[in-house]
Amino acid sequence: MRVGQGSRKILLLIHILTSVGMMGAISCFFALAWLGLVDVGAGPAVYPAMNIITQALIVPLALASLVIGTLQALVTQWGLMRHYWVLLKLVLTLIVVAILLMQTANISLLGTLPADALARPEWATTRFSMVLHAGGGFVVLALTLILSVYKPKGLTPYGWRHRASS
Amino acid sequence: MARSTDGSGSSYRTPRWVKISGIVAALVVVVLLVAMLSGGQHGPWQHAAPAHQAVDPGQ
Repeated sequence: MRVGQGSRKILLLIHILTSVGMMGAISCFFALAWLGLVDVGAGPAVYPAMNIITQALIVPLALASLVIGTLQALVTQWGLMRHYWVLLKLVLTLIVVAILLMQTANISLLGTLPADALARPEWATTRFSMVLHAGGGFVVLALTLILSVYKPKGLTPYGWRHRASS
Repeated sequence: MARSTDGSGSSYRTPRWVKISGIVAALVVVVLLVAMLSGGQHGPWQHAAPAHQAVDPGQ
C-alpha cells in the first residue's frame, strides 16, 4: 500500500518526533538514575520522578515510535523487510521496547522505597541497573538514528527476490 | 545465506556491513551470556531484590 507524499511527510515528522523525543526522555532518565546511584539520599525524590518519566513519556513514545515507524515502512518504497537497515532498526527498536517493558516494574518499585531501604546492598544492583539500561537504551537508539540518516545499502533476500520479480 | 541466484544469472550477496554487524551482535550476546552464567546479575528481572526483601514504603 502506498500513500501520498503529504501523508508520508506527516508520518516521517511524527516518527522523528517520537523517536528523538524518546531519546531526550531517556537522557533525562539517565541523568536522574545517575543521581540516584551516586546520592542515595536523593533516591526518594529521584525514583518517583523517573517513574513518571517512564510511564508518561518513555513508554508511550517508544510504542508510538515503533508503530509509526512500522507503518511508515509499509507505506513507502522501503518496505519493512526489504532493506537490512530498516529490518535492523525494527529489531533494535523491538529489543529496546521489550527491555523497557520488563524494567517498568523495577522502576515503579524503586519509586516507592524510602532512602534507608534504597541504601541496602540488595537495591544497589537495581539502582545500578537503571543507569546501565538507560545508557544501553540510549546507545541502541543512537544506532537506529545513525541507520536512519545513512541508510546503508543492502537488500535482504526477500527484498532481492521482490525486486527481481517486479 | 551469503549467496543465491534468481535464475537470471545475477547473484545475491549479503552486504559486508550486515556481516560485521552480525558478528558484533553475536559477540555482545556471548559477553552477556558469559556475564549471566558466571554469576553476574545481569538479565531481565534479576536486578530487583526478591519479593520477600521488598520494604514497606511506610516504614
